[in-house]
Amino acid sequence: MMSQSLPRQPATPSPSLPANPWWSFLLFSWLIALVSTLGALFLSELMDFTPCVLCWYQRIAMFPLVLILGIGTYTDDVRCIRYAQPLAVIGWLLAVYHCLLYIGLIPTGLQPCGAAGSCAKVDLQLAGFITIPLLSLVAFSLIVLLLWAAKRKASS
Amino acid sequence: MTRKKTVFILAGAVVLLAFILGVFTYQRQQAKAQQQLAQQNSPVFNRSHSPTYGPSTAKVKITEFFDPACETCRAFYPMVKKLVDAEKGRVQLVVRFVPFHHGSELAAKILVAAQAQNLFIPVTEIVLNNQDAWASHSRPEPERIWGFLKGTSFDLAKARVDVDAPAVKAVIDQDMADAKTLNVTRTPGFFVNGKPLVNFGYAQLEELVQQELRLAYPD
Repeated sequence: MMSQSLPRQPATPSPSLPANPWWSFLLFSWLIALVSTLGALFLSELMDFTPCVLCWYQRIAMFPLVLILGIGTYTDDVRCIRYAQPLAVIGWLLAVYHCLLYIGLIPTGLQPCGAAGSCAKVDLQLAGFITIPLLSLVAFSLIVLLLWAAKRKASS
Repeated sequence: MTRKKTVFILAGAVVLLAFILGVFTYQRQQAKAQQQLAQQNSPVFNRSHSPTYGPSTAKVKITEFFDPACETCRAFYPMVKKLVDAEKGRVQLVVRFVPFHHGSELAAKILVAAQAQNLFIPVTEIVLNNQDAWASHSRPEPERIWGFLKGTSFDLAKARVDVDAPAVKAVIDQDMADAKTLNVTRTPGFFVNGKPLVNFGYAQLEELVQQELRLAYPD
């Protein structure tokens, strides 16, 4: 008699219960990529800052993330991490290199800059220390971390 | 639609709206700043060395910051000329030289030399008509301009001496300095009676000219 009143365990997990926890990580990483892309366009197209070569390489890594992560988030597809992660890591490495150039840890003789504008020239500083490469580094770091966390959650 | 898709679209829309708002605010701020800049620096619009088109008695003056190698300048040239012609003495064009393109400095100097021979308009037309030939962005060949001017009434021997004269260089330097003062970074840069053309475009320029005409000739 008692066993009848006990609620039965569902054989398969109900679809509404584990609302895949990695999804919000994906959403945030997409939002960071979107804000970074729009911010980069604002700086170059409206404020007339000419992107240097290193900035361009970081843009190449950042801009596709808006589409890859956007489509992955929208269609709820965890596999997009596989495509986004290499781009995010490459962008992060470039941003680290750029920041080291900026603060002078790497001699400027090594920089791969052409006529477009020097990568080591400090164009914009907010609050005394926030520079464009630092913003890039923060954005790529957050995306790398969020994707890593999302991947862990998805595989667990 | 699932809740996730709604969240996704809403979040994206918020970011995009913030961006559009930022663009709008920034552009308004820039326009205001440029207007103030032009107001504070009205003497830069009175340089006696500049070539002009149209009568000096005209009360509406279009100041054009001009680069002989600039494609948009070439495209605007016939339209601006027509605008001056159509107003029959009420509008004058004042040309300032800002050779931003690589290799266009010689072209600008030739135009200054042409002005000294009272041939500014015909020489400018020849230089602009042959822009494709001498003003390639990757490999400009401004020396070729001399060839296009052969056989005209333009005194080439005199002009060749003029382009090396410090006085001609001084004209370009002054114009470049004035462009910097007014924060003109692109060509063509238009001001009508010292008021900057904020939204770029021919219709907008025409509208600004009409507005100044109404102010200068109220009747």
